[in-house]
Amino acid sequence: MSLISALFTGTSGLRANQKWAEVAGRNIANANTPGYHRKEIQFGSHLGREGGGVYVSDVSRSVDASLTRSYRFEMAKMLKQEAISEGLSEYTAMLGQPDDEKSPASLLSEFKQSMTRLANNPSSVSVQRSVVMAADDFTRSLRETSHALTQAMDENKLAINAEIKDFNEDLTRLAELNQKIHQARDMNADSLELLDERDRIVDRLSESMNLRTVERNDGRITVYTGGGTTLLEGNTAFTLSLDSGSGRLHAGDVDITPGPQNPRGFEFGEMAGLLELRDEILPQFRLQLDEMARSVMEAFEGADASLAPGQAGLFTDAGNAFDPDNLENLASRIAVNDAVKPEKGGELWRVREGVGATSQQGGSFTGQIEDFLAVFADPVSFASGTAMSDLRLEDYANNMISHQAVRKTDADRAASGIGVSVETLGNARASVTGVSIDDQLQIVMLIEQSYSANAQLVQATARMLDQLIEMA
Amino acid sequence: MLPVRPISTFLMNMQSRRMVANTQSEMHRAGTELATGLHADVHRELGSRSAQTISLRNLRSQNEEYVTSNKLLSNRLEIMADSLVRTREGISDAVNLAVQNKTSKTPTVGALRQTAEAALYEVVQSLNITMDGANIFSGINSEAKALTEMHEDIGGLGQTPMELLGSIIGGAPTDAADAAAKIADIDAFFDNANPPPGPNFEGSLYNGTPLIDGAGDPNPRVRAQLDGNGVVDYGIQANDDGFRNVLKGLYMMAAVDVSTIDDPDAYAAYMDHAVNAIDSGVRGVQDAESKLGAQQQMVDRVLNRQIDQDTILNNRILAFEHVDPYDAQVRVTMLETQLQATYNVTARMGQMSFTHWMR
Repeated sequence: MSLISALFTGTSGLRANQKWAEVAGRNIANANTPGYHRKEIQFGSHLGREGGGVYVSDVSRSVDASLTRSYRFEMAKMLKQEAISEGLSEYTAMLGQPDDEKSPASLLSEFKQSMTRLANNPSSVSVQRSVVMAADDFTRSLRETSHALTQAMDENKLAINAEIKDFNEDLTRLAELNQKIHQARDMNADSLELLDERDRIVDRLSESMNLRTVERNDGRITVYTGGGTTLLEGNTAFTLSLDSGSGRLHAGDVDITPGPQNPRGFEFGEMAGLLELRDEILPQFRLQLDEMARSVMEAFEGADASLAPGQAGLFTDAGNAFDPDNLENLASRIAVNDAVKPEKGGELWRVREGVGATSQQGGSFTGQIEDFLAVFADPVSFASGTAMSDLRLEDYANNMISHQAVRKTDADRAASGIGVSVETLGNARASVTGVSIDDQLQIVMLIEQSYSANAQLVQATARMLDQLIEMA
Repeated sequence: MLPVRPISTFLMNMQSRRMVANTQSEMHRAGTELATGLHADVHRELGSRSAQTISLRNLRSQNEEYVTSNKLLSNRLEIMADSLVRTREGISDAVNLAVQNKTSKTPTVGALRQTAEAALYEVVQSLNITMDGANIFSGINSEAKALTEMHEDIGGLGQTPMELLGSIIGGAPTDAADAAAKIADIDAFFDNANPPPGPNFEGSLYNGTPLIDGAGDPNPRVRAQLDGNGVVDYGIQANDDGFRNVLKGLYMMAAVDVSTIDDPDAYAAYMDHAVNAIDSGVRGVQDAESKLGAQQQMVDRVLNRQIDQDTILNNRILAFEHVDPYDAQVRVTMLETQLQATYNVTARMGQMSFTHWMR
C-alpha cells in the first residue's frame, strides 16, 4: 500500500504548508504592530505509522523572559523621571531663565534697587512711585508663581486619577485574558495572539508601576507590585483606589503608596513619579514660596517704626497684617499695602516715612528707608522643609528659583540616562520578538516551493492509482 | 543547525525615526544657542550652580543702580560745592568793607549797608539752590525753601526778614550798654534761644530741618547710600553754625545803618560783634567746603570701583552662561551633516527590500 502512503504523505505536506503559510501571513501582516511577537512553526515527522508524513508539532512565540523583565524595569525607572519632568514643565517654564529676569528672585532684587534709588532721591515722587510699582511687580510675580503651582497640583491630581482609571481597566482586562488563556485547549496561532495581548497589557501596567509577574502551570499569570503586594491572582484583580481622606493609594485593602516606610508598594513607574510630585516635590515648592512671602512680610513689618501693634506693613496678607497662624498659601495672598497707593487713598511718601506714618518728617528723610534696606542685609531663618538654612532674602530667593528649576532638569537628565538602557534593552527585545519582512518573504517562497512539490506528489500518486485501477 | 536572527522591520523603522527626532531636537537647541550666544537652558547646563548666575545678575543690576545713583550724587555734591564757593565769594566785598570799618568809621562806612544787602542777596540765592525739585540746604525737609529772602514775607509773621531783624535790633545803639543789649537779642534770635512763640532764626529766616528735635536730640541729616556697605552724611544745612554766623553779621550791617551810630563805644562793640560773626562764619563755610571735598573724593573712588565692578560681574555672568559661537556653529554644522546622512540612509534602506526582487 505504498501508493496510499505516498498520497497520505503528500496531503500531510499540503496541510503542514498551509499552516506554515498562515503563520507567515500573520507575521507579515503584524510586522509593524507594536508588541506583536514573531510566531514560529515546528514540524515533526509521523513515527511508527505507515506512510510517515509531516505534522505541525508546535506554533511558538519568540520571547525572552529575562530581557522582557529587564526592559520593563528600566522603562518604569525612566517613566518615573519623565512623569516628574512633565509635571514640572509648565511651572518651571514660568520661572524662566536667569536672563529673562522675570522670576520672583529677579523682581525682589529690582524692588531692592528701587529702594536704593529712593534712599538717594527720597523726595522724588517718581522714585517713590517706582518703589510702589516694583513692590507690586514682586508681589504679583509671587502670586502668579503660586497660582501656577496650584495649577500644577490640580493637574497632578487629575493625572493620578486618570492613571488609576487606566491601570484598573488594564488590570480587569488582564484578568479576563487570564481566564481565556486558561480555557484555551491548545496553543494555536489564535491563542498565541492572546498571549501577545497579555504581554502588551503587562507592558502598559509596568509603565505605571514596577511589577513582578509569575506564570503558573495553567497558563495564567499572577501580578505583584515591586514590593510584593498581589494585584492579580487568577481571575481576581485587586484594583487601585485612593483613600479620600489621606490620599493613600490602595490595591484592594493594602496600602501600596510609595515611600521608605512602605516596602509593600512600588518604587518606579509613572504612578510613582506622580505621587512623588504630589507628596514631596510640589508641597516643598509651595512651602518655599510661602516662606518667601512670610519672610518679606515679617521683615518689613519688623523694620517699620511707624506701625501700631497689629498694623500691616508694606507687604500684607490680602490687606491684613501678617498672621503666623495663617501661613498656608500665603504666597497667593501677598499684596502691597494700599496705604502707599494714591489711587487707593494712600500716600506715596509712606514708602519713605513708613506705612503707618500720619505725617511727613521731611522730603529727604532716609532713616526709615535705611531700615527697610537693612532687611536685605540680615540672614533670615526659614522652615526646615524648604531645604534651606539661614540666608539673606535675596540669596534665599535665588536658591529657591534655582532649586525648583533644577529639579526638573535633574529629572530630565535622569530620564535621559536611563533612556539609553531602555533603548538598548528595547532593541534587544525587538530583535528577539520582531518580524523581518524580508525574512518572512523568503519563507513564503520556500512554502510556495514546498506546497508545489507536495501538490505534484499528490497529483502523480493519484495518476498512478488511476492507472492501477484501470489495470484492474 | 545554526539559527537565523533576522532584524525586526518595525525596530529598524523606529530607530530611524528616533534618530531623526533626536538630531532635529539637538539642532534646534544648537541653533538657539548660536543665535543668542547663551545656553538655551541654563538650569540644565549648570544645575544648582544656576543660583550663582541669578545672584550675579542681581548683583550687576544692583551695581548699575548704584552707579546711576552715585553719578547723580556726585552732581549734587558738585552743585553744593559751587554754592559754598559762591557764598564765600559773594560776601568778600562786604567782609573787606566791614573789616576796614571795624573799630571806627572810615569814609567808606556809608556803603556798608548796601554792600551788606548785596552780600545777603548772594548768600540767600546760593543757599536756596534746588536739584530735581529738592532744596539742597534745607536738610531732610527738602520740600521747603532753605532761607526766606530778605524782602519776602515770613509766613505767619507779617514781616520780611529785614523788617524782623530791624524790629529785633530796634535801631542804631546809643551807647555801649545799649549795644550789648541789642547784641544779646541778636544772638538769642540766631541761636534759636527765644522761648516759644519766638521769633527765632529757625522758623522765620530759615525754613528747613531744625538742628535739634523736640526731645533735644540732633535731627537726622540728608544721607546717601553709596553701596551695600556704606552711607555718607553729606547734608549741609543753611542753619549750620557757619551760615548762621555769616547771616548774623550781614543782617547786623544791613538791618541797621551803622554809619548812624554816633557813640564810638557803641559802634566799636556793635561792629566788632558783626565782623567777628562774619569771620567765624567764613571759617565755618570753609570747614564745610573741606569736608564736602573729602566726601566728593570718596564718592568718586566708590563710583570708579563700581564702574570697574560692572565689567567684572558681566564677565563672570558670561563665564557661566555664554556659549562659544564657534563651538555652537561647529555643532550646528555637524548635526546638519548627521541629519542629512540619516535621511539618505533611511531613504536607501527603504528601497532595499526583498519585495522589490520577488517575481
